[in-house]
Amino acid sequence: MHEERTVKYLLLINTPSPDSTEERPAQGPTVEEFMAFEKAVSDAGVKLDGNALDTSNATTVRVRVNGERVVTDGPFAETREIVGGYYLLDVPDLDAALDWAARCPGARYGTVEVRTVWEPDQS
Amino acid sequence: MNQQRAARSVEAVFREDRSRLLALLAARFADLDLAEEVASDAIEAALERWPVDGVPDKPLAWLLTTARRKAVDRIRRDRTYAQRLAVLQVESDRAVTAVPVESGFDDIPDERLQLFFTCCHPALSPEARAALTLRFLAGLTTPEVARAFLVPTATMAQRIVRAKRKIRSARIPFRVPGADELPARLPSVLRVIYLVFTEGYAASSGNDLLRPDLADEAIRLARILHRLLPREREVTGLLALLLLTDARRAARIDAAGGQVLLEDQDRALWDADLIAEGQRLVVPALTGPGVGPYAVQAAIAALHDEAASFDTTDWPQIVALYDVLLRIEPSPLVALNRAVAIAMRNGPEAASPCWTALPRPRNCAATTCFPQHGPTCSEDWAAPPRRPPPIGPPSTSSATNRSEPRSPADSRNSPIADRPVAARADGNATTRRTRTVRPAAPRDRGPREPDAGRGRVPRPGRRPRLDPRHRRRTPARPLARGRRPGRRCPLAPRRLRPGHPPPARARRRPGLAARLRPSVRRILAALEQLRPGTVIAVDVRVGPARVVQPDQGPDDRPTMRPARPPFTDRHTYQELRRRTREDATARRAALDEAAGAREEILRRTYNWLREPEHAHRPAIVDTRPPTPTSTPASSASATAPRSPSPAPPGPAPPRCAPPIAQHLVPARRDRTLRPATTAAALARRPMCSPRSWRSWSTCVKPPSRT
Repeated sequence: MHEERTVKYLLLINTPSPDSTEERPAQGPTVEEFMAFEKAVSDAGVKLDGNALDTSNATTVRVRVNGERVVTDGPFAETREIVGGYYLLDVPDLDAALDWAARCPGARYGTVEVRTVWEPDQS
Repeated sequence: MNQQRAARSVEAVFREDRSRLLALLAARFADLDLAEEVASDAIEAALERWPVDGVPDKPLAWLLTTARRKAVDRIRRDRTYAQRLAVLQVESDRAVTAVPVESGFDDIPDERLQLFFTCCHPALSPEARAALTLRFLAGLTTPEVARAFLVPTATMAQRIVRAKRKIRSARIPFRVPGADELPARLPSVLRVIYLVFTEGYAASSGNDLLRPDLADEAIRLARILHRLLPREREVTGLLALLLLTDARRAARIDAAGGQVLLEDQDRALWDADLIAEGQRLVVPALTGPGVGPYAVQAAIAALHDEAASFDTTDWPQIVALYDVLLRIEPSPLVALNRAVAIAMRNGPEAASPCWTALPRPRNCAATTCFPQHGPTCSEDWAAPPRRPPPIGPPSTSSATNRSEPRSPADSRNSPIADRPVAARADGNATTRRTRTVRPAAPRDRGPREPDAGRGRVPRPGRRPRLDPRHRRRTPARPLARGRRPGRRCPLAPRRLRPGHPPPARARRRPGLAARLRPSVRRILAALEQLRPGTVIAVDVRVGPARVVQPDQGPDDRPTMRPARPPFTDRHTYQELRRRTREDATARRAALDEAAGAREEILRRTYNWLREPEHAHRPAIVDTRPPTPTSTPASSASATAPRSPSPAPPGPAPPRCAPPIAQHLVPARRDRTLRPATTAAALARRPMCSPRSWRSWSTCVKPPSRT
């Protein structure tokens, strides 16, 4: 309530799952494609944030009930679908968000998951 | 008998009106829940008033006005939505002038198209799409929808609630896709109708082969859609296909409920009127470039319907049409049907190359539209029932001894001879009929029918490739369009579990200001300046009101004028009333838990906001006398609360002023001071992880310093 309330959509760009049998381009999306998308998103004025993530150095932390901290290496893109990047967009509705997601180069290679950012004062 | 017919016609009229009413209300309030509740209220009021006062001249206008008033009342009653009410009221006032009670039926735009596209949005799961469409557009009650899908009412209620929640929280828009999007979005709508029909035509579960009620619903929906989009040829084609297929309904079942093969059907029982209507529709659907799959299938159905006997069926033309269909959607099932048609045209030997040319299983990955727990509309198209041709000696050993793959024809537990060897209507790979073994469905584990092999498509020498085991390992791949079926939609809201408060009914619609009238726009511009740190600015803009353009007149979409409901029959009237009430009760019961929790949250939030140090929001002062259309909040609270756990009587809510305009006063706040104050207030205001609604709700609890 303290700021203008908008529903923000997060596009989670996932790498393709290694066991996926779906047909997809042999090569991943190129940097140029992402640059073009980046420019389109920025020019449209809908981008709030967005970054690519390094998929090679993920570390997972979990704290057990007894307070023990469990740190594991991974997950790795080689073994499962992981988030390779994200965009945070401010668009009016789901259709617009889906349109942007479909234009994202990652959607042709892996998948793009569209989520709304939860807001505590939704009611 | 007469009474029953009267009951049906009254019900049909009401359902027709109800869906239009819902569409109008949903378009205005952008809230299906609210629309549904007030529409039910309005219909209930009509059932009480009309027998006494007489049926008004413009029933829909009467219902719409009543529902809108009830919506305003209801929102007014909801104290935490006080600010939102301001926008609503403005909008409502304008709407009253835009759609006066006197306006005729034709003056009210038919907004159902929006509702169609919202209910059939691809972001919703297929079963939710069908359920929502039946619920909101066909006007079935939740128990009826549950019966249609043979699931418990509570399950269906939950499914519908979840879908509505997603529409709200993911903000699936209420709009008709533009002309450029229509080709991508329309198939989803057509498919829902088609699935409903298919389930009625050849029920995939339950004891009866036919579910005439579902087939009728599908045709009704197709007719509505055809009226709304008369120029869309695929809609025309779908309606034609349904009519031409349904025309044979009476002949498809014998006295014992068993299936009758097309070859053996008494063609005199076919409905000549439906066939004629379907044939009239096929022509425009087929004419012109870029013919669609439904139109082609309708043409095939028409050819079957035209044939005086099975032997005189025009197989060459059917083969030609299957050629076209195969080019439009290269699915193995279409190829299979084409092979059958070739066998009928030229003899079994001619078709054998087609068998071997059937695609590999990987490419005909089974897609199931409805998961096992879900509704069971079959995906395959209700093609003209045709007995599989004698292509070769049925290889009984392989057909009966092997548990899988079973041929498409015997995938069900009912006599299957007449099962259409299906072609497909959608780009989603192949049909579920090819995925014959569905382990979770008990009926598939049952003993096979002794004569189950009768209608089986004889296999070529090699093992058929429609191997369900293989297919289940290989995830279905959407071939042409659409999302991956059978998988939970990644967008489905998991966070809000039952018992958790659902998200807001409505929230800010961006661009709202732009759509408001100039006077309101000025106010909102002022609010815009006040916005940082103000509550009101947000909440006013949060309003669910979807403002109609002032100059929006009746659109040119065709509207329909239903017959006046004949209220001569007391029994009918009572029955309708009872059903309306039952429906409302079931719905409310399903929502009770969530509503209770939400009320509690709202109450706490409200109390918290009323703490003096939080009162940095501008107050809205109501200086208007209460209007007849909108009872003041104080008196509204006296009316019986619908929720079983109403908010305990708290301090009176601030009187909120409908015309937000001139009365909007920033409360004891200098704008220059606001940032600091806001920061302080925010620091006190507990914000917590979005993951935990519960923790948030506890920290919103009013501070204990009381």
